[in-house]
Amino acid sequence: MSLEARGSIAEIGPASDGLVQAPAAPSSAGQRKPGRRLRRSVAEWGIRLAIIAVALVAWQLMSGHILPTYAVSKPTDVAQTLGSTLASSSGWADIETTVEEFLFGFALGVACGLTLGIVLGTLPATGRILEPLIAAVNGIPKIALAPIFILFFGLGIWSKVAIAALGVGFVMFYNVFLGMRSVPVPLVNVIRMMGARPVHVLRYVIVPSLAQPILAGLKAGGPLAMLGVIAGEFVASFQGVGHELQQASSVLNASGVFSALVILVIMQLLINGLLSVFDLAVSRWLGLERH
Amino acid sequence: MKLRGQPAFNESGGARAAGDSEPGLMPERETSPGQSATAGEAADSALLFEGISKSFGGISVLSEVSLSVLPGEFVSIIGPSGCGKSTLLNLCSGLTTADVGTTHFQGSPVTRINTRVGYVPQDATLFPWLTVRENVGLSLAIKRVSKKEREKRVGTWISMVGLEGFENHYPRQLSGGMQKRCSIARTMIYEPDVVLLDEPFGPLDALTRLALQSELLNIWRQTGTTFVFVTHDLNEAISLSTKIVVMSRRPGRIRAVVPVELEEPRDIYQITESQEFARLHGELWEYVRAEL
Repeated sequence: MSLEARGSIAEIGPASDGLVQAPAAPSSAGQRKPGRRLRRSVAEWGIRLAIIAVALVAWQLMSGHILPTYAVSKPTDVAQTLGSTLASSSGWADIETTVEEFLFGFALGVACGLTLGIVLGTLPATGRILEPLIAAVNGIPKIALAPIFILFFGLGIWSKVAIAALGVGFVMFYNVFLGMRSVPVPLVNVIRMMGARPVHVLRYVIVPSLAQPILAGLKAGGPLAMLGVIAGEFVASFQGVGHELQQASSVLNASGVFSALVILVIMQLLINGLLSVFDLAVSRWLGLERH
Repeated sequence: MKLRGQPAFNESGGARAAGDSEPGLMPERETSPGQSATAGEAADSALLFEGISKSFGGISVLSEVSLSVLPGEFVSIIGPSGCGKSTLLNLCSGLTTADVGTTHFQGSPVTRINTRVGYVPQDATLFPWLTVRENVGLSLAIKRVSKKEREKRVGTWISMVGLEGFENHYPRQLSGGMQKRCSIARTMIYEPDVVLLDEPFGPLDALTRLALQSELLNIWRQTGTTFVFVTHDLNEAISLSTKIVVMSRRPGRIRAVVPVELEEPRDIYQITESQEFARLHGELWEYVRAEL
């Protein structure tokens, strides 16, 4: 079969549906108002910082007069404690420990949840049999499992890793497992008719259509993993930011408590920020960005 | 070639294939009516349905349907909703199998997914995470055609359907008509001998539909592909086809097979004004109305 080149559509012209002049072209639209977006963003951040500043000032003033210092401390004291923590090597050792526990727990949980979700999603019978059992285990509060993990893994990092992994793992599993159900069948049919083998179906249909559930799972799992780590450190540990927090509260060291809290909040914000950037990058790459 | 304008209309509900005096693009055959398809007949046809019956969940959708489609024909299948038109396409593509009867594709029975036909579904069904260029070239990427060859053919087909300038756009950035063009290009690019189209222009507005019909005819003329086109639009069927198959209400049987002889080359925008068009329309409308 020989195909003639252009000529055939001369009478129609290119895409003369009349509906689309220039399509969405988000890049050009974005270029037109970066100034406006930037200014708006700066303004919003300005307001946020102002609110934080007002709260800090109020806290400083109320402490000692309206609120007892031993309970709430003062921004100035907290800043001092924070400063000395960050200046000391033991402070950084705590931070490193917590970060390590988080990273391992997160990675482990994501890997297990992803694999289990795909496997059970691909084998319907196995999935049906095992899913209620998984739900049952998920129903056990992680905090109740913490002592068991301490017994298994000891006081070191692995007990915290296990708790974190459990939290993330279940979220990931469910997102992927249910995501497998909404893999678009028409696309699978189309690609199979092109002669696709299972690896092609995986690459062109399944993995891209799982991208959104996976990203959602990551964003939900991040903070959850952190919670697991801290909870584990509370129960039993000898190092870590959560450990320090718990120690400080047990001796009524309010500034120590708040100092540790500040560190935790910053860590959570960083995790969230990194995951959001990752989310956006993957969405762009897959042509799925939402704006 | 001298063609007679008699519909092959069989009271018992099956359109005879090679057997009796069905006019059209086929030469006269020696076989007598009533004979079931021979191996030779199956081999000559692009597509052959023999005594197909099919039910879904207890509801009979097709009943004793026999039909042959010859290479190079443009066959439209029209009929009321639920009469099994799409099921016939799915039988040909291997996405489903008949309860009774066999489907033959180029002489051999269809037993699994048929990768030698093209399928243009009702929705464009493009891959949302691939660009136009990647969507069109997908079948070649799967068949591991070399990158250079792939790019050349993708370029040719993107021009053929008039999507130049949109190669790097994602489907959600395209209008419905453009997505449909992309879907057609993606199917035609691996040059299947037979292309199945399931009401492809249904969801489009009237003007876009005319434009795409015209393009489809051009493609048909240039490539000589066999087209099997399901539609509910009588005008569309008459404008495009060389043969029209009218299906009855569910359970679908073949009511009539009508050859269409209109002046070639056809101009979609003017064809509805010809006398022959009106005559055909009147004749077919009688069959269609009876099934509503």
